[in-house]
Amino acid sequence: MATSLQPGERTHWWARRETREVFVLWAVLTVLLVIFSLTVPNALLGVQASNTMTAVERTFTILSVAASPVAALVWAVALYSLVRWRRKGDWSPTDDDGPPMRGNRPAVALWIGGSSALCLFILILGLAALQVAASPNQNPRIAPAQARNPLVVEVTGEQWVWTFRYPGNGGVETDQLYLPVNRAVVFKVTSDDVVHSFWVVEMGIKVDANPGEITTTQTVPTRLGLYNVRCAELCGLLHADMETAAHVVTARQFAAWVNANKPSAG
Amino acid sequence: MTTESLVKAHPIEDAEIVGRRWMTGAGLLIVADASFVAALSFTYLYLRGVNTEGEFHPPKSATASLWWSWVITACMVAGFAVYRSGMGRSQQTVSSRFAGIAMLGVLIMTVALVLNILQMATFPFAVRDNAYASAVFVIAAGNVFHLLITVFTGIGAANRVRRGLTKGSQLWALRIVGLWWGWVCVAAATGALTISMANGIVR
Amino acid sequence: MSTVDTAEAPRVAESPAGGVMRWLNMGTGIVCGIVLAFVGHWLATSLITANPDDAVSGVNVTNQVQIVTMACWAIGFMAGLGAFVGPFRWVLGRDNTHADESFLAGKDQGVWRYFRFTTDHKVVGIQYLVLTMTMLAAGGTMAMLIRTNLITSNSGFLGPQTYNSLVGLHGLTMILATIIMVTGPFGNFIVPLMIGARDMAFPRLNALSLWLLVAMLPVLYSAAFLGGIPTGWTGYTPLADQGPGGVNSYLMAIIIFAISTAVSGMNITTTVLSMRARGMTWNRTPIFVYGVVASVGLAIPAFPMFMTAEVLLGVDRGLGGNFYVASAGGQPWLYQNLFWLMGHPEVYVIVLPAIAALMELTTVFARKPLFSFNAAVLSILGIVGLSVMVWAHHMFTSGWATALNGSFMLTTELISVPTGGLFLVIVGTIWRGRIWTTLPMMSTYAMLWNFIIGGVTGIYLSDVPLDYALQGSMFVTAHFHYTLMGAGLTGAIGALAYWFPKMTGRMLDKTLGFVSFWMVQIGFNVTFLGMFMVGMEGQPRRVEHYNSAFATGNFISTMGAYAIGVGMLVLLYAVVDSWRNGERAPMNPWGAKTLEWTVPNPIPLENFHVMPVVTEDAYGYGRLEPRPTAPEPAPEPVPVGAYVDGGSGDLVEGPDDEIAGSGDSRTGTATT
Repeated sequence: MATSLQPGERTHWWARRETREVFVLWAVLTVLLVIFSLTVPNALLGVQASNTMTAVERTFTILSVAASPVAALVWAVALYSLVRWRRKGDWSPTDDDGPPMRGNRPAVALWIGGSSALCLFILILGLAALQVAASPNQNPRIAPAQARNPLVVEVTGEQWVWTFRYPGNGGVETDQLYLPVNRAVVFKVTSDDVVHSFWVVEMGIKVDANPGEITTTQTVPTRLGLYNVRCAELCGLLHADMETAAHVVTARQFAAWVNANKPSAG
Repeated sequence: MTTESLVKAHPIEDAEIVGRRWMTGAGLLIVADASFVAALSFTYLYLRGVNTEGEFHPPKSATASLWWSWVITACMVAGFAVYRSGMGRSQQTVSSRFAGIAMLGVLIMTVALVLNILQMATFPFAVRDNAYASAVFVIAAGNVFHLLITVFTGIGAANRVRRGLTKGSQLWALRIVGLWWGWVCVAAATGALTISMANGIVR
Repeated sequence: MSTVDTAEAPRVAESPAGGVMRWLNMGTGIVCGIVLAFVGHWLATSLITANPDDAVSGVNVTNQVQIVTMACWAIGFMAGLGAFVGPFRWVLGRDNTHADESFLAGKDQGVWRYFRFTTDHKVVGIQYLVLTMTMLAAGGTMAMLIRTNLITSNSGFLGPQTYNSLVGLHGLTMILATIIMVTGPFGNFIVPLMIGARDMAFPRLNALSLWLLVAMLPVLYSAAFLGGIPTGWTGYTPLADQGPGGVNSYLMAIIIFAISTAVSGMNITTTVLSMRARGMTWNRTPIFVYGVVASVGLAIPAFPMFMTAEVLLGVDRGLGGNFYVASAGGQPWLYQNLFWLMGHPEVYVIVLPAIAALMELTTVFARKPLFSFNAAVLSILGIVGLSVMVWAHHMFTSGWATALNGSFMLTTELISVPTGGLFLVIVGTIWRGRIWTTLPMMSTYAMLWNFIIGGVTGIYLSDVPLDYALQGSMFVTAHFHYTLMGAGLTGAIGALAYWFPKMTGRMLDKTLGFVSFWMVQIGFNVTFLGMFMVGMEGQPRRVEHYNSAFATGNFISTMGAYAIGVGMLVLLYAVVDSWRNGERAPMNPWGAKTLEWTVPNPIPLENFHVMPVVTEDAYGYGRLEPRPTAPEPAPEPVPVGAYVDGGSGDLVEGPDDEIAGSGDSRTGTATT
């Protein structure tokens, strides 16, 4: 801080009034933001109906906590400057300028180093999570046999309905999604007309339905209940109506449902 | 910011400085155009690579002849060579018969333009046949657009030299026109090369 | 090219200055455009005889006719305006005389010069400002309608057809307006002044880029009468292939816009590269200039991609092409790639100049040098470099090249490092400053708040698994509004308030400015925090009605949006009223040190009576030692702008009009 010395200011940077006060403000804001990060996102993101969604909510929280000190630092300085360094009245040409600080190498280095480290951290976190998302069968509750043999569901989007076909279950075809709990499921998604996006909201999975292509996504439903399937890509007039229900049921209920809905003509 | 009033009145800008400025501008416009040409090549190669539903260029559909593209490109390169031959090696001087030479270049470029239009009129397929047909058609159409500007600039360069308006330190105008002519040759070659790299039925 | 020739080709002025341009203005442009549009429409309908096969093979005659008509309108308008006179005079060798150039620059034409093909960069800057504000007002009105429709879960206020169209039209209007909102008005008006130039490098191309946008507006809004743009602003195919005639307006507007942007980007870049004042090394070039050049320089390669995507869409729609039709070998992912190759750099095209403007004015209102100029420049360059390598993060869920998702996550998250650098520079500049909380400075603070939120939520979306959950939801909508509006538009409003005295000669009304600021900023945060909420709860984007579970958040959003609307109206009133009746502005009301504040109000046609020489950068605040005065001034120095005491703020020329026309002044004046 040698550049910023002014008469009467010979104290070390850490002993300066503004440094200490901003530090306190920063700490307070950080704590508030961390509390916010630990509570609000999870509440808003809702129930975790799959192991994917569990990971999503965890990542969301971790990223929020990691971002808290950064946001708090910027806001703390901004807030502090408005209170302490704000000029009373208008500027006039005879007023003193601020100190001629043209930079501070340690501060810049610390900032760049810190943000790079944070960036690296979230990157590693993201890559690890991506690995899990690509192979979601590491759920301890799934029997190995089931993990190797996931349920395949063929999803077809057309304006403006979803159709689900179960090739491994006698080709059952429905307009509402039925899934057995705790069994890995692979969705093979395509479209008959324009681009749609297949989104099971509470399971945190989404993939576009493209005409002429088959895209896949997978997850393991971990919670019984009734969830929402929506289209997340504008697909024309009734895009808003392109939603249906996802039922997560027990294995036994699922088998019964399959039997009841099998196409009669074998 | 400190300003000092060192310079009274308006300095006459050196023609070379103005020329360099125009060269910078022309170069940047060529960058933009290069982005356009690259996007067209990418379109062709990407669509062919993905070959959605095997319908990019299905069996029994017509294929464009590569001859046309390369003949047009060769024609353009010849036009460019003729134009450049009107200027000295360092492009700092100009032949006394530049106007005539440049008009010859324009003539050759016009031939290329006519050939290009003929090519588009005689494609053995319609734009709507398949993605291959559409992509080849658009690459050819892009070249027509290039050639129109080329002919326009060529006529201007020749006419201005003939009337004695472009001379001496203003030869940069001719260099810029030459830069454009060189670029359209590269662009035409890029288009022809794109199709040549992967023409014919996708198996 | 003609400027150079002028001095050596003196011609007898047998005709009044300006030649045919004397008779051409916006009115003749409109007339000519309409006439040619009718001719084109008639020719197209009579020549393109409907082939019986066409209906089967997908060739749409209506689309052909509409596209031809729109192109004819644009060409006719530009021709009627006189945009093509220059090139043809060049070819014919009938170069402009000095008087012609002065006429083109709008000399002695009063308010009329704003309705002509005027080359003076200050006129073009004002035209851009008015155009941008018009577009923002139109887009804002649509936003109000959209939010009104979403006030309850199923209001039925607009109906799905109108709603979808408005979403697309709002999005496209706003994207186009925000792309030009800083580099247009301030890049054209302020940058040449800031670097000490007499005009842009290519004044006629400058006018061309502006008037192309004017020609674009009727094309864009003709969509409202042709079935709308029910595809969102992204115009994803194949939905756009099957869309109504409005999609023709969409693609033609974008093609015209892309040409305008390429021309304008090339012009501004060349100006800054080659026309900085003597002594203005890169170290002494103000940071705003860096921001503008980064923005327009990025646009040069980016927008032709966008144009290509739309040209191909036009071929699909008009000629039955198959670029995006999967059943004939086309591929929607092609469109998405081309679109986002432009689409992500475009985000920085919008945000970088706005933030650079805030950096510039923060130094003025904190009375401190920019904190680490090098970090600021490197951050801008870093963002520019990385921004072309991140486009596929918009396509994580598309299924295209999922194997590459990890690497696109890498590049995307790397951008947070240089973006953090921008924050460092601003926060460091504020640190121990003497903060003068004017409206521009308050915009900096608002940006620090908004852009942190926009940036952090961007990191969530860059994380691939999180993006799988959030993509396509209202969360994304809220995120990009926080960046484009919270940082971009806030920065542009700050820039407007900061440069208003120089551009109009009047001070912007302080009270109304603050009222508007607080209404807009509070309304903005209410609107989009509400939108984050419903997005995380699972509301998709672009839905006309929604599950009643999202009712609370949507109601909050709508109320916030109304606050923004009222606040913006207050700002609009403040701008119009201050422009007409505001307090006259002194030459340098903020005590800033950049060159644009050294010219008098109103600014003379050729900007500087004497060319400035720069001896240090613009951030010499708080110097303890006396100012260095090297080099020694020439005898009888004329202090720049010393003869003016405030001047009149009207749109008339200063007392020294006769010195030069701007386009020609670089070469011509010495001979007069």
